[in-house]
Amino acid sequence: MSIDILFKIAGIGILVAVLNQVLSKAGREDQAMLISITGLVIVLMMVVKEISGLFDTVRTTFGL
Amino acid sequence: MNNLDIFKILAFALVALVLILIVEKNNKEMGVLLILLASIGILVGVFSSIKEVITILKKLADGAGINSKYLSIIIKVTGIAYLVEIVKNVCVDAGNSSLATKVELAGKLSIAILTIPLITNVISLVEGLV
Repeated sequence: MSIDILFKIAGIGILVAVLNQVLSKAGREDQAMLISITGLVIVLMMVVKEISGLFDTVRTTFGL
Repeated sequence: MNNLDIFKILAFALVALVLILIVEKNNKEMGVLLILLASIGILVGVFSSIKEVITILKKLADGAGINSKYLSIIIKVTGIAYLVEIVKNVCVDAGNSSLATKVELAGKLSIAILTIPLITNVISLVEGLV
């Protein structure tokens, strides 16, 4: 795994936080919540892929 | 693993730390996911050297005439311990220590089940002596 996925997820996190604050200030709380949920789901998909990769490597290395 | 790799991993950890600090301020869940991802990245980075150590251990055990069944149990326990430790630490970092305790309990139980054959072997050995 390289470091660019880390940068990608940090970027998504910052973007979601900014959008969330802008929409909250504009009085659109429902859209802000939807955006934060969407960002979380996108990041979760990426992280789940990495987790399954780690589990596979551990399973093959340690013979589980 | 040579010297260059450890420097790479240290730099990775520092960059990840800064990113986590930035993101965590505004977006707590994303920070937890970043912590998880960074720990996975470091562990995947050291896996080639873990493989080397395991092959050397297997060679040593073969030379010493130890049953390879016992060594494979030890290696399995090490793998379970690594995974449980990662998940437990993520739970603690996310501020949910009760879930972390349960994860630890599950890991301990699975390790106990793996080591039961060894324990029964020891007991039958003692019985044979008496």
